[in-house]
Amino acid sequence: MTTAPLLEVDGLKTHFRLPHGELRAVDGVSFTLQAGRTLGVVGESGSGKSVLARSIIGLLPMAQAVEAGGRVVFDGRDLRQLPESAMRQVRGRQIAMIFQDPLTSLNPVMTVGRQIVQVLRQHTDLAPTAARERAVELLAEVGIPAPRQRAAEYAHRMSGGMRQRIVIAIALACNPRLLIADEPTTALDVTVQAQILDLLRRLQDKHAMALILITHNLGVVAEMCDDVAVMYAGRIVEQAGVGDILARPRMRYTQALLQSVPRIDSPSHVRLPVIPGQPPNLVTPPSGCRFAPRCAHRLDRCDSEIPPQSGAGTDHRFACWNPSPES
Amino acid sequence: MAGSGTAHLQRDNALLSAQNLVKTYKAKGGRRVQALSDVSLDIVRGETLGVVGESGSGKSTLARAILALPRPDSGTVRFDGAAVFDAAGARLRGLRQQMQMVFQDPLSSLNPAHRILDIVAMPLLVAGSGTAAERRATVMETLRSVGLDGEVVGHRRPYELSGGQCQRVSIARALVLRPALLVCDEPVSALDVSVQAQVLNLLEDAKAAFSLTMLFISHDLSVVKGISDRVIVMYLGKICEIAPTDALYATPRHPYTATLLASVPSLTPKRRSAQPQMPRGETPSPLDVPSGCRFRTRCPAATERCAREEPQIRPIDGSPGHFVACHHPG
Repeated sequence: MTTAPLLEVDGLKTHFRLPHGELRAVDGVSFTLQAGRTLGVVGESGSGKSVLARSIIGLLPMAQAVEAGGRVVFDGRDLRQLPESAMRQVRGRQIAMIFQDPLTSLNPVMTVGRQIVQVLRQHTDLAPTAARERAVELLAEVGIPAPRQRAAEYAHRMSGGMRQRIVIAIALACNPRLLIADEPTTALDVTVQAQILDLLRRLQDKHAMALILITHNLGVVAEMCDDVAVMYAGRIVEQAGVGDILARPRMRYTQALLQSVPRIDSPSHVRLPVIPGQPPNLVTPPSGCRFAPRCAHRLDRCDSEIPPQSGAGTDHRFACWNPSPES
Repeated sequence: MAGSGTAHLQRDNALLSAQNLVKTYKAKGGRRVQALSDVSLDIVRGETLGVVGESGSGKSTLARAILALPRPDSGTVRFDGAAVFDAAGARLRGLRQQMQMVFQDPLSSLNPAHRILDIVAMPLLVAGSGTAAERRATVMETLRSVGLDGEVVGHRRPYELSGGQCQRVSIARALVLRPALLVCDEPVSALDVSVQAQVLNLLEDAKAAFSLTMLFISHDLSVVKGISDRVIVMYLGKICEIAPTDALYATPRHPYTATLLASVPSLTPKRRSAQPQMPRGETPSPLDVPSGCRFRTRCPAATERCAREEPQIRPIDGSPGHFVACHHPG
């Protein structure tokens, strides 16, 4: 039994025009997301995960960005074909996004209550008084104590965790069907991170919302996700259910990445396996597998031929000429 | 308050011993923030002592206070028997050569206008050691020891290197005077996972090659576990718990340590399983610290006594080297 996915990203390419050429930040990314599910997008700096998120929601600096191809089909419509006026109706209402640093996402000279009211007035037909009441309800829902008083305060008076709760309240104001969260807990302390992740989980279940969680933290992925896409140098190199990715990775980069993470349950003074070198330049990427120059299991063809996605039609797909054997 | 007292000090084999460090900063309206409140610790020769804590715990202030950068308001630090804060001028410079620091953000801690060779040579120049040729040889050798080729990167500037390479340069600069103590403040927090592993391995190698003693500060409990022999847990300017690494992670006795450990996401998938109990609240403002034990406002085990009386650091029976500042240890 298959239902049409809520989101289908197909061959998505986003490039940036630079003086010395075109930087292929996202270079042919495909995945699907069902309603109510959580997809983790993991990768290191420069892998293209944030550009992917912004490409989906159409928040790219259009002066430099080139929509170089592909489709973003949300609820049956290709968002890349929509005019900006129609995109404005999708953004905030159907798809919401939260960012890493809550302080820079909030308006410093407007009370947090008014910021929520603004979103509600923009996207719903609530009257001003009703919108103010709804804003207080939303603050209560994200766990802000004394929400009525807090609604009249400014973001700078609040802790990092509270600010991120406010940002979540704003994002959820219109009951979006998809939330994109870009490193939502990276700036937070670990005890606060645990609380914010818990909040996201509860709200997601309550509102049957789909979630794309972008993170570099594999622990956060394990806590939150159903499925995971691993990005390297602008491409998804492996995608599977979270259990398969963490326990049975096939693609060599995923495997090496998992091995290099310090784990709280490993003994002290154990040498961590490292990935030598650095990610490639995305203006002139390697012509074959983009991980090949750093890969310990490289074959000759890895340098020249792009590995196809193996496992098509299954839940575990990866792009590797010399994958680790199935265990 | 979570943690005063000196019961945990080792007395005999410490390379560095800090006692009763207090550091306050002025805040608006004439108020004072106590960033470090009566903290004592010692670092045993040859060990790596880890310090973990969240924002506002005072861990970075502690690192700086030990090096007198700046001096704390009160307290003493003895390095190899010598009182650091009594020293001034040439003698303080001499002591500081023995204690070097690596900072979190490699790019902002390196002068962008200087070449890598000059950055690494600067401590030698300040110390007035050797001829130009000798200094250059030491710089090249030190760069080699951190995995960089001075011939290749020496004439570049920091912005031409990757974050991981910059952190190697920072480490080389810290090692070039051949210090006895290396203080690392969040040295891998700004790095990607794969690069982080390279730098952590490098620190272990450098420690062995140069017979270093290390103070390693981080908010990342997994990183601290990997590199430390003993670990100190800090909260709001106080010490909660000190123990050998394995004991601390296997049997945390302070409720805050237990909360921290339970908050770290593990690599076991659990999206669709029952969720454990969440930690309560956030760290209170350091302008307005709770009476008694500073953790009591978030502590599941807090009683009326915790509000009234500050727990002293005391040893735990049957767990050597394990100390906790709690009225109701777990």
